[in-house]
Amino acid sequence: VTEEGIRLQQRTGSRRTLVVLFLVLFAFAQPPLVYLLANRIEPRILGIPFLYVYLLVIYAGLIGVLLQAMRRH
Amino acid sequence: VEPWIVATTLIAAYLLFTIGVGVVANRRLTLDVEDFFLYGRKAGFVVLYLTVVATYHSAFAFLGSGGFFYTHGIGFWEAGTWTILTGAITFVLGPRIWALGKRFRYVTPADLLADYFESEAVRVVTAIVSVVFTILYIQVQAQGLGYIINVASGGRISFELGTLILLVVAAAYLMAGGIRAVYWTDVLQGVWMYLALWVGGLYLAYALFGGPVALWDAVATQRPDLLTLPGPRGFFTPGMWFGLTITLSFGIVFQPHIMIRYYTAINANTLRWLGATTPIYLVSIYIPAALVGLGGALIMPDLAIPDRIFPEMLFAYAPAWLTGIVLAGATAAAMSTLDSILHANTTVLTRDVYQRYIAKDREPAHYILAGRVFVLVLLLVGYVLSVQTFGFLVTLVSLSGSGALQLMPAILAVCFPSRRTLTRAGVLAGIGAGLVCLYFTLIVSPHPLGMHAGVWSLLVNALVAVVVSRFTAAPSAETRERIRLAIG
Repeated sequence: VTEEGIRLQQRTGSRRTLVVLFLVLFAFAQPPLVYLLANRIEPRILGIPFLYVYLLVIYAGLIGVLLQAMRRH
Repeated sequence: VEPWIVATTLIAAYLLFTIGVGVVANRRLTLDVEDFFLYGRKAGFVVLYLTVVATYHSAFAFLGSGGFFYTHGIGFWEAGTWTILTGAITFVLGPRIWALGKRFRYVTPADLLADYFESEAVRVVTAIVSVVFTILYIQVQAQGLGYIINVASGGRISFELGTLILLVVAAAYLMAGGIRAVYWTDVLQGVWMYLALWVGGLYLAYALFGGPVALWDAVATQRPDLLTLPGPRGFFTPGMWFGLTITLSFGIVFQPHIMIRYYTAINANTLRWLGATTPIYLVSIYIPAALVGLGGALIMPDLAIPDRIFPEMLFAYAPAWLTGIVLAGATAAAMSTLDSILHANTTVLTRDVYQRYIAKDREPAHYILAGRVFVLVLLLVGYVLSVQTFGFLVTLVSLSGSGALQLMPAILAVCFPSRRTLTRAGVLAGIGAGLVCLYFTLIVSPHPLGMHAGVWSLLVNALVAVVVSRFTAAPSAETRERIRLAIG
């Protein structure tokens, strides 16, 4: 196994991890999870309703994954 | 000075500026079809970023989103799911589509599909789907423009005249400068609309409630029904949530005005950066929209047309200069999408219909002239559609998105060519079945079992395409290999 082969394997593994992470996070912003876990106003976070903050955090995570994918490309 | 005078003057100044941009772009224009239609395939990151986000966000982002928060509550914050998915699709598919376009000189989505499936029928069907469903989108934008100018002028300029003025201006700079004029005006429009929404939204939140947190608190106390799912009118059911995510991501990316943008990029990495970063803009624009819509539900609870909540609140509670700047931003939002759709449809009609079947092998100048004539034709069609029918903006956007969504199985087959690929018969049968299903699930019996019509039609399309493809001839091995090698 060459050094380049190892690097290729690592890149593929890291890409797969990012894809899985994106899909898992995305699932948390889709039914049924969003309805089961976040469909409420309380507890409010910094005065903002829970559902709004929940989605905001997931969106930030998803964008983070995309940026990470770009960085590793 | 009365607010309507400031608002109308700023919009007029903005329109004159866009025409000026069209004239300057015209001076840079060369007699080359790719220059007129595809920016010479040299669009860099900044220009492409702002034209994509300005094109994606339209009159709907300004008017429809505020109206949706106003009517259906916090559920509309799910907009983040489809805008982020749009970025991910661009990240994955954009470089593939770009590579194929550059290698085989594709100009339209139909070029891509017809080449891979070795079929003129696929070309024609793709062109028809591209044009028919995006003409609905012209209607949406033109109606948004009519609303804006009607409200900005305090009712002194009629909806019909406002629509006509703005359509003519967009067509004028497009005819003068081609896609370069569209891209350059989109740069201004993308920045302006973003700032306008944020400044206007925050101003109203502070002026009326003392800040965003106090606004959220007031909504939680007075209208808690706006802060949970499925919303006061039960709109955001799980099926609708999922359906909107799919329809307004894949369905919009596969519309010609977005797909053609992939061809115009200077390189594949530009598209990857675009995919990774455009969601930041696309999602965050809905933050002030939520403040406007939810705050508006408390301040002006009985508005007859919810889409007008933002301009109505500005006129009532903001200074004239701010109202003018924000409404000019709203005009920018609608025009940046409108000009892109006009351009995309012009490109499809010129390339896939005129050049292919009516006048082959003419000089580039001839096709550029034909393109300009098509702009005029589309302007007339868009105007008639706009003043003849009215509807809630998001419904029309969904209809447009669901139509282009029918191209999804075919485009995925090209982007990921394999031995067990779809066939031309499968793709054609799938698109046909999907469109029939869309008619029944969107018009006859809307959204069966609470699931969005776009999802039903896509499922039927994909199923039919896969089954028919099992029994019909695949694209030749040479073509599959050629496409695979070009993608790299």
